[in-house]
Order: sequence, then structure tokens, then C-alpha cells
Amino acid sequence: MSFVNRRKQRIAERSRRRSEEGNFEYVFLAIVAMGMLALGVVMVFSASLARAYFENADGYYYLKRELFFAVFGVAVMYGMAKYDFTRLRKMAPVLMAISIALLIIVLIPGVGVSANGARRWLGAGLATFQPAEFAKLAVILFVASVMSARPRLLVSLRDMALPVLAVPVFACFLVLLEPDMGTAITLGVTVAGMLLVAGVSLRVLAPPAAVAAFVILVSVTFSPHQMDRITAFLDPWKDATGTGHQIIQSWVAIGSGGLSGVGLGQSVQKFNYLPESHTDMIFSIISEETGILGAMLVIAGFIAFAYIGCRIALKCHYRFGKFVAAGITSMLVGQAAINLCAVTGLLPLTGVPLPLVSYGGSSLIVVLASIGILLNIAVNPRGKIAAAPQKKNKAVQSRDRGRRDGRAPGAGARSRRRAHG
Amino acid sequence: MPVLADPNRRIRFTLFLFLLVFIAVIGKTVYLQTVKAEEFSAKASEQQVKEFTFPARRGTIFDRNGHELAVGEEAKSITADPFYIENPLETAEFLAPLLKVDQKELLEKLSSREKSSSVYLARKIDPATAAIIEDAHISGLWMHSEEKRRYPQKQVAAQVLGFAGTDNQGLAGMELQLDEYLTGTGGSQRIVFDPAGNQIETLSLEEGSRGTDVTLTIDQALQFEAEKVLSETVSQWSAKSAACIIMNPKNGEILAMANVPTVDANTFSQISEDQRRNRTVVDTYEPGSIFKAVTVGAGLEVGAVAPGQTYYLPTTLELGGRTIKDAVDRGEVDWDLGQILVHSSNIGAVTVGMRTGEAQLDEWIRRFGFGSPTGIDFPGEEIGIVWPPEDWSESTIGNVPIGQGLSVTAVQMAAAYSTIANNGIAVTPRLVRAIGDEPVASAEGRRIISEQNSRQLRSYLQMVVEEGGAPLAQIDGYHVAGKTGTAQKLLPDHSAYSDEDYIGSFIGMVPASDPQLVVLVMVDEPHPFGGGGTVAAPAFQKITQFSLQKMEIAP
Repeated sequence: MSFVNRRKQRIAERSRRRSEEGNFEYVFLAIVAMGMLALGVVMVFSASLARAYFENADGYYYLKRELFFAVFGVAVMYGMAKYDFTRLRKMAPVLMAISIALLIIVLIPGVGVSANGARRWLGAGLATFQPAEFAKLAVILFVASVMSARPRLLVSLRDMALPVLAVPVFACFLVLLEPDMGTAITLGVTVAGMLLVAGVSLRVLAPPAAVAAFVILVSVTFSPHQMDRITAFLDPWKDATGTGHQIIQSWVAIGSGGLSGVGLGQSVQKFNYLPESHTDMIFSIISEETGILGAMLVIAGFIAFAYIGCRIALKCHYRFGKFVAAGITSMLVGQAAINLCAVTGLLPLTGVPLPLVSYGGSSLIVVLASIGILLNIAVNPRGKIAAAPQKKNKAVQSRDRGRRDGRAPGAGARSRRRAHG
Repeated sequence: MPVLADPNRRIRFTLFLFLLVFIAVIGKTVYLQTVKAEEFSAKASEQQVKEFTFPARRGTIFDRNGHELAVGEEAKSITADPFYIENPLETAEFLAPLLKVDQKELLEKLSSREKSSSVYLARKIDPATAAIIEDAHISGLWMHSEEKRRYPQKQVAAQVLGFAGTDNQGLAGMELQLDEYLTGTGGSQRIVFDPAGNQIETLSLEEGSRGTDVTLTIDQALQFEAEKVLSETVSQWSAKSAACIIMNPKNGEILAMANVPTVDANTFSQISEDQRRNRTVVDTYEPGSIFKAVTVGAGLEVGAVAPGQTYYLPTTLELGGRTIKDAVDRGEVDWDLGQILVHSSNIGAVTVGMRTGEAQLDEWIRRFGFGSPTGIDFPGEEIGIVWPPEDWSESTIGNVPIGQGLSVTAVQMAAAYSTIANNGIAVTPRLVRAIGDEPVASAEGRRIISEQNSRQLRSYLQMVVEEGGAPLAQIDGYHVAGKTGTAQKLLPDHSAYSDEDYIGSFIGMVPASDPQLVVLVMVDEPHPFGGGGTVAAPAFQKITQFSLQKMEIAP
């Protein structure tokens, strides 16, 4: 009982200090996220204006929807920033189960809504959402919770295979059935990032990476659609009006923007020359309209994002928090990297949106929710043990550190079990 | 047993990996926006921007009294960019009957997938059809205004006016001659399109300026009358064709230049090359007896012959193995120059030519303007053939004085007679009276023969009309001076003269004492045989009488 009281006391004490400790990351991340979101809203409006006008006779169609999702998403973000993320740890398996269930439901014809040959959506109207987006977050939480609870599993691939890898791989498989190549790749990059951060030996990571590479190679070879993307990537000019069309039009947009850009709202490429101009290709339109300045601003935004995300992960001394932070950062920055590489022609096109900036409903809400979690990790007292004031009892400090910094995994796990018992 | 690595080291490593990727993205983006900027900007404009040029409105051609001879009329043209056409088959089905073209051909035009390859589907369609197509709102089709050249007087002076092509450029006749004035400065428009062919914005619009109006010397009424009379003559005599020039000998203005059969200038492109020609300028012929006045003029100037003197004329004349006879058999006579012309005596004319001498005769033929262009402002003027004396054979002196063995144009002949009419001063024949508001000054006249000799010639020519040579050319109340011509045509193989085909001509001037008009009428291949006095003189009489009244010329 006294132990519990002392613990409560300590938490209260740390809560007072949290503003000082995680303040920089918290504020910086919030500013970067809101800045990118604002840029996204403006550019989605600009890029979608013509399309919205011709499709729906309402030039504000996509702006209205984007604003709705942005406002809703920011509310979710605020909620998550206030919500103690540690409570997500216990919920992770449940969330993962729900997510898997939704990924299965969406595949049922008549239930899942299909568009452009992919069955990805559930619901209707503004309440449409993509289970795959939700799955990204569920996988992060699930993998983080397993890895933090049972670090020993991470030592060998055989131990890790079932409890850690099986569920994400299955989720990935379900997403590929929709099909949604972009999200599957994002999931892969996210889990890989988390395993890397968890300290899994590269020798252990190599075989699954090789298998993944082999699977990708085989699936590409047997899918004409994916093969087209590869050949278009290798030589877009060979079929400039067919498979190479999108990347060439992206280059035309970026290139014609030049140093100064053609002016905000002045893009011509967005008039259907460049497909997906308000979603996956938004960066090309930003580059076209605002020139090198806008393009560099977007990239700088994601570099800042990567920096803060990693800083939050570095500073978090609570293993679950560290892994979740690393996972969210891998997911967001990884998506951004894949997207930017694709639209500039450094990678084949895969259909990955640019987080925060591209138009999107569920994706934007999940991204903002993730950022909310990241914000909470930045300031959550559970991550601050190492930063306890020097005046504190040295023994307590060292014990805390020993329990939670992951250097002594066995002891940490045991002590936690004791504490909860 | 491998241990787990330090998460924080791995986090820093991950951040480092991300930074590497972003540096690559920055590098590629900067490369695209600097090194490649120009190339991709060009590509952007190439696919986004279309430039439309619209020809300037063409200047109007007026007759000397301000009647419109050639005007521009608004018409629509339709182009297609196959790249933007969503359903070529349906579009072709819709358009083919409207444009009255073959559906297969149209479908081929619409199906080409070449990027940015606009093709004309139809030029200058009527406004009603254009409206139907415009209302269908088919993506990839564009309408633009063009100008269609229209000749409201249809056949009047058609061969003189020539025509302007679909691109509104002058292709023949005065349309070609005056193209630089009639053609204005074209306008252009640069428009940004989306891939579906919707206009996004207009980048630039240059209006261009309209071409300059031009006033010809032609008098529509005289032209019309000349064409009417010639048509009647052609049908009366079953002739191949006929031509007429009415010229003001004082300033060279051509008041009418008629070619029959007439053609409708509005259908010029469908008319055979043969019928398009303004034969008075671009065709040559052997003038025949009409040329004898030139021979007599040369003789007078050289002093080889003189008024009041008579010359012994045998019944026949042998020259270089050729026997020369007069048209009408007669005994041996002593005739003066007037009688030689009144009877159109071949032997008389050859005698005058021989007295003048080959070199002098040749020089004076050239001084009268034969063998060189008159300088008329009409494209493609022929100069005819006048052989130099060194190329003459022994019999040539028996040919040339009577208008054989050389070829001339009708306008050369009209110009030569105008010199006689204008007291010996030659003026350049011309068709353009004013360009815009600027009158075209007539070139300064050149004295060819003395005033005295020209008066003398006119009195002889008056005798021709009034004392038996061409009575049908007489006009009530006026003294007419003139000369008939009945020139045999060479056979197609040029081996000999034809017995059946000839050109009957008459050239006259009124009033004889101070001529205001020189009128030449030529009738090609009239049947049955009739001399110039029979075939051409009546036409001359009608045309000239009308012209004198219309122009209110006092006797």
C-alpha cells in the first residue's frame, strides 16, 4: 500500500515537471504537424479545385471534406495527446483483433466498398473509413506491446516468429488482398523500423527481410500491373503516354515549377494532366505552384518530423513508449520518404500518400491520432524516469532506471509483474 | 547468443537512414527544378498550351466606283485534337453527315493518338452547321472564326480578280498581285487547355489588323456589258472564246478586261486552269492584220513612207519562195497608206515593211512595246515572241509586217493602239486605281511616235471604219478609228496555218479626233468563217457604245 502511495506521489511530482521535460518536443511537434496540415489543406484545395468542379460541380467539394477530416482529426489528436498512452498497452491485442476482423470484413463483397478495382472502404459518405489505415496504428501498438512485454523473444527469429511477426504479416497479407500495395509496404517499413529500434540483431532480421524481398520479387513478376510500375520506373519514356505517364507528368509538374513556381493556385498539371494530383501526387503540385521554396519546405517539415519523432523515442525511457514512438515515426516518415521518392522518380509508384499533406479521410485521422499519441509520449511521466531530479534518492533512481531502460530486460519484466501483482 | 542492440543507437541509425533518403529526394527535386526546369517547362507548355492563329480579315476589292468585287465573309472552321476525343466512332458518326464527308476518313482523322496533333476537319462551314456542332459540346473539337472570300458579282471580272485560297492568301489574279496589301496582320491566341480540351485560360490574344482595301480601275458596269456582249458573240459564232480590253489611252487605266466563257469566281478552285486564265495578259497570239497599223506607223516614223504618196502594189509578191496575196483578189493598183489599211492589203503592208527595212521595222515593233512586258500590274504577264532580224529568213519580211511570225498579247496590242490614240505617248496599262486611300499614280508616258504621225495614223484608221473596212464598227454620233484583224491560227503542230481556225479581232478608238477609249475585241475560232470586221466589229460597236454612254463621253 505504501508502495502504491509512494508511486502516486512520484507521478504527481513528475507531472508538474513534464512541461519542462518534454515541452520542446511537444510544442515543436505540434507546430510542425499543424503547419504541415495547414499546408496540406491549402494545397489539397488548390489541387482538387478543377477536379472537384468538373466531377461534382462544386469546386469546394474536396476542401470541405478535407476540412471536416482535419478538424475531426485534430480533435482526435488533442484527445490522444491528453490520453495516457500507457493504457493503450493493454488494449493493443484487442485493437489488433478488431483491426484484423475489419480487414477481413472489408474483403467481403457487398460489405466492403470497392473503387478503382480495390475493395478498401467500409461505411458510406463522410463515415467511410479504410480498415487498413486503422491497422497501421493497431500493428504499431501490438508489436510495441509484445516487444516491450517479452523482450527475450527478440533474440531469435524462431522465438519471435509467432508472437511478434505472425500477426503483422497476416495483416499485411489481408491488406494485399484488397489490394493496397502502398499500405502493405508502409506496414512492412513500420514493423522493420520497430524491430530495428528494438535492437534486434541484424543477423536475425536478415532472413525475414530476404523472404520479404523474395515475396515482393515473385509477386511483381506475376502481376502485370506491378511489372508495369517497375518498367515505368526504369524507363518512363518508353511508354510515355501509358505506364510512364504518371511519373512523367509528375516531373513536368515539378520541373515546370522551377525555382519560383508558377504561383499558388496556378498549376495547370492539376487539371487532370497529373493523375492523383490532390492525393499521392500533391508534392508535385506543391513544387509546381510554389517552386523550390515550397518543395524544400515540405521536405524540411518531414526531416523535422523525423528528428522530433526520434528525439521523443530516444528520450522515452518506457520501452512500450519508445517502441510506439519509433513505430509512429517510422510509419509517418517512412510513408513520406516512399511518397517523395515515388513522385520524384527515385522509386516506383506504389500509391502511398504523403502524410498530413495528401487528401485523405481515414488516413489523415489515423495520422493525426498517431501524432496525438506521440505528443502524449513526449510529455508522459512514465517516460521520464531517467530525467528524475538529481536531489532524489539515488537508490530509487537507479532501481527505476534498471527497471525501465531495457538494459536488463529480465529484471524489468519481473519487477513489473511484481508491481502489478 | 546474440544480444539486443542499444535501442537509442538504432534510433539514431534510423534517423540517419531517413536523412539519407531525404537528401536524395532534395537532390532529385533540385535537379528537376533547376537543370531540368527548362525542358519540363517546355514540355508543360507543349501539352497544356495551344496556339491558334487566325488570318487577318482580307481587304475588300472595289471597282472604280466603289462596288464590291471581292469581300470577306465570316465563316467557321472546325479542328479536332484526336488525343482529346473520347469516342472517335460516335463523333465521326455525328459529324460525317453534318460536314458531308466520308465517315471512314473522318474516323481515321479522329483516331490518331499522336499527342497534340490538331487536324482540320472542315474549313469555312456555314454558320448553321457550326452552331449544331458547337451545341453538341464534344471534347477535343474546336471552332474558330475564319473568313471566307466571296465574290458578290460572281462572274464579273472573275479571271482578273483571281481568287484567294482557304488560308485567305491570294492565289491568282489581282488577289495574288495585291496580296501584300489585302493580307493584313494575322492575330493569334495562346490558350491553356486541360487534357479533356476544356479551356482554362487565355494567355495572350493578338487581334491583328485587317488588310487594306483596294480599288481597281475596272468599271463593273463596263465589265459586265463587255462580258455579256462577248458571251452573245461566242454563242452566235460558236466560238471557242472571246476577250475584250477597254483602256483609257490617256492614263493607262483598264476599264474592263473580259474573258469569255466567264466563270464564277466563288467556285474558282473547281474551275479548270484553262478557264481561270486572264488570257488578255497571259496568252499570246499571232495578231494578223490588226498589226498593220504598227507597220505603217514604223514606216512613217522612219520616213520610208509618207502620207499622200502612192505605192505600186502588184497582184502577188514572191518572197523567199512564198507567194503573198491580198485577201481579196484585185488587179495591179497604186494605193496610198490609207488605202492600204482600208483594204487591209497584205502586199501593201509588206511593201511598207520592205521600204522601212528589217532592222528599222524590228526596232519600231519593239518601241511600240511588242516583245517586252507592258508592265501591267497583273501577275504572270506574257511578253510574246518577236524574233530579232538576225533570226529572220528570206520570207520573214513577208510575214512580220502583216502580223504573222510573231506573237503578242492582247494587252500589248491595246497598249500599242493607246500610243496611237494618245498622240504618240505610251502609257503603262494598269488595273489598280488606289490602295487604301492612296491613289496609284500613273507612270509618266513615253513618247513613241510623233504627234503628227499619230494623228495621221488615226485618220487612216478612221477611214478604215468609215470608208468600207469595218462598217459594223461605226457608232452613231461618233467618229471611230480602228482596224480589223483576221489572223489564221497555226495548226497545233505549227507546220502551217489552219484554213478553218482563226482569230477575228477589232481594235478601235473613240472619239477619233481625241480618243478617250481604246477597245479591243478578240473572238477565238468563230465558225463559220467571218473576218474580224464581221465577227468582232459588231461586238466592239455594242460594247463601245455602251461605254461611251456610261462614261458620258462627248463625241
